[in-house]
Amino acid sequence: MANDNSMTNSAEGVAISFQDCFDAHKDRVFNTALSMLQNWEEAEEVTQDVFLAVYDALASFRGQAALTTWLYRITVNKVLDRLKARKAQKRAGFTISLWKQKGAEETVFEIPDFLHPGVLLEQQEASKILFKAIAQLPENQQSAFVMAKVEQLSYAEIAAILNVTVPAVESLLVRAKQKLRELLKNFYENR
Amino acid sequence: MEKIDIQAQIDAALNSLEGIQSAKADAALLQKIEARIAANREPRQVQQVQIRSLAIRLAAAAAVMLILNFVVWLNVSKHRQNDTFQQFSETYFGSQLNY
Repeated sequence: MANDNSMTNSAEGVAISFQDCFDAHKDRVFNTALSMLQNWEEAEEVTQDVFLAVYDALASFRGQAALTTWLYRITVNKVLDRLKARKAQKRAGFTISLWKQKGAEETVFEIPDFLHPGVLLEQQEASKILFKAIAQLPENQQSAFVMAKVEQLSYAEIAAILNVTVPAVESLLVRAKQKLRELLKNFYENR
Repeated sequence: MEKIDIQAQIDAALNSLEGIQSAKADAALLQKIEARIAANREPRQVQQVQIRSLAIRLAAAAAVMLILNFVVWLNVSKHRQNDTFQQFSETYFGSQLNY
């Protein structure tokens, strides 16, 4: 059913089917979504949303960008939409709890522990704390950091995905590291 | 001493993603996506059928309106023609036309 749709990968100049596109990129999309959302179910939903968008856009994809860049861009946008929705939900919950007054103190916006399945065993505890800090970064810094450190993309690739210049990516990563250091320092000092 | 310890922990946390492997997506994900594609396609097809039937009805209504307009126009112009003949007859012959 989904196999009859095909698109051209500008980098390779060959037509590939939706099935091929899915097989080649599903892990990449899922891994990015999982690292940013830090939630298995939501990452799966976003992966589905991304490939649905890809399926719908196959006809209009003109290959201006490399297929991977295009996919990463859709993924980051979908993840950021989710994060915004999550924040809006938290704000709504906080307002409701203020109305109820009694529940106001119960509302604690704790970020649950997240263990990425690909982290080495000896680094799992430290990575849980790092992922908590990553979740508190501003959106663009978070996207750039995840793509650089988890997806191990080059600055040029990240720049193409985020539609910014390479120096802008460097600046985003420097600021992300500074912010992470601050957050981690706070965490370890108050533990 | 404690400060050095915290610094080491921060560095360890920052370096904890070294050697990270990619997470693997669920093998059944494609089936779920295909199910969603199919579910999205059905309402779209229903919508297309509804739009087509509405367009046909509108075209039929427009055709009926055009025919009615034409019939009324024919009738009115016929009467006007008769009126013109009557006026002519009254002016020049002093009497109405006898068909």
